[in-house]
Amino acid sequence: MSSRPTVVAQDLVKKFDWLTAVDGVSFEVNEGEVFGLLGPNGAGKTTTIRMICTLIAPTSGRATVLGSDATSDPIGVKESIGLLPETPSVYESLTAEQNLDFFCEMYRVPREKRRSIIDDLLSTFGLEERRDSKVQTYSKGMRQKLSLARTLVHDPPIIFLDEPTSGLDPESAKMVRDRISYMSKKSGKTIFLSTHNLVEAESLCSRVAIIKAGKIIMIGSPGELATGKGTTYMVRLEGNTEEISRKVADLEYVLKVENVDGGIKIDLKSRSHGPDLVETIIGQGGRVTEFVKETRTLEDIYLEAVR
Amino acid sequence: MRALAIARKDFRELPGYFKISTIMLPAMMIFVISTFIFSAGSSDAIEDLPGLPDSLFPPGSTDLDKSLYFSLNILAPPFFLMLATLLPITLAADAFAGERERKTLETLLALPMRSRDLFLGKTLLPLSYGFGASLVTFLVITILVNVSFPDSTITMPNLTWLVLIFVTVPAFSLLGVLIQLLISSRVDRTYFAVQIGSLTILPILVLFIGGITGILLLSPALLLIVAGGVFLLDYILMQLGSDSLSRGL
Repeated sequence: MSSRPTVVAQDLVKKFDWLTAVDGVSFEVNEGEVFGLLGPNGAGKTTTIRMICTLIAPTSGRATVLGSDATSDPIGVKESIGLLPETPSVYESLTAEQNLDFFCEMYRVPREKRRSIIDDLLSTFGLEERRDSKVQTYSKGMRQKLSLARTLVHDPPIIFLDEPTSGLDPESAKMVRDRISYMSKKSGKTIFLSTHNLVEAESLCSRVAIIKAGKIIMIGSPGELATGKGTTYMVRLEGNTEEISRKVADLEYVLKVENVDGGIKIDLKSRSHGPDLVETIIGQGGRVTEFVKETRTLEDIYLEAVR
Repeated sequence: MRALAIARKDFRELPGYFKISTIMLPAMMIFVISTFIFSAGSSDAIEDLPGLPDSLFPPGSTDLDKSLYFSLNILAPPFFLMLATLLPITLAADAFAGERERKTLETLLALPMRSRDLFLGKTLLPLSYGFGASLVTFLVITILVNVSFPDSTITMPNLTWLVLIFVTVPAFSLLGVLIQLLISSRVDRTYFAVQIGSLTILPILVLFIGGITGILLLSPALLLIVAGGVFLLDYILMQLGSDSLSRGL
């Protein structure tokens, strides 16, 4: 993967009257990566995307896409991106083919190429049999697929997806995820993904940023984020558990101790402190019956971060 | 051209009942204006005719001719203007508020086009609709007048109507559409836009009242002057509209 940044946000701020929706957000998204922006409702995800995609002007700060400034060169930004908003955004009174044809025209796709692009996209998303049906007769999943198809008509190098699988049935959601993965790995596209679905983010994203109350509170690959938060061990033992917990909590390399059902959950600064920990527990008269390193998922990291 | 593509898309999106109204509304205009014209021949209308300068009429004009002139050139034009302005603003009300209601506005604003082109694109359909309906109505009325009053000294089409159809109506239609688009870009519901935008006809009501009271004589010169002022206003509103869209959602 190249390290060339394609999307750059520098200290973006957006205020709506008394509310600061986005408060000094900065990050870079590299070419070809799937970058996830995670956060609870109202955290500022959609506002951040809207500023980068030039739909709203930032109160301060700067966003660039492939070098084009979102404020001074909005058309340059818009030409290089495809945006899939949170709700399926296609024209319901038109057919699938008319929708795609309209977007081809708006993106100035050459007339002679339109037919093959439309055929290809309808086939890819399994909509070719319903190409002449009005979108109002489509299911939500079909509309979302068509929305995704229309973001691709001009073959943009960068795609912004705001909750792309929200409300979809598992089969449609998997199809959309597979397509996102394909676009990144096979087509080399940069994907900016905003989602609530942490399993989806963990499986798709090479890096994620967690946003809370308008501020980025964590950024990195899911692996880096897990390491940054230390290593967690689940220890089951025989002996005076409460006394041992207190002693362990005083150790310099222990970040957190939590008594859980039948054992102690201990966060260490580093995995290398594991043997020292066992030695300390034995020294306090405890008999270790189980010592398991816990695998931290993105969900664990996210929930700790946003609490 | 992207503006044309938007107008085409908007036309395809028009609900069926609106397409039917493209026939019904000109028919209504023809009916109302024909009623004005044909009532010109009644004895009451001739008796109640306000005093008009003789210089307005060709030599040898009868009372019927004068009455026809009053109906055709003084009563009918403001009414015609009013209808020609009202028709397109109902379409324009949906332009942005409708896109917002249908959740497609964000996608539209994300397209790589200048705000001015987007605003122009949204203007084309209602404006063509208003102008088309006016033109059809004008042609039908011209035929009706010539067939019904073959011996009259009052001719149709005349300069007043030509200026009205090709200059004043487009100016007022555009004014109505632009005001409506500005409102539509700022409200959430098409319904609100229609309600507020209907106020657009207020200046036309002034012409209408001025005409029937005899205060304003709608001469070609007056129509041209009014249209010139309205076109200037249209230009300013077009700038305002484009700026408003470029500020985003």
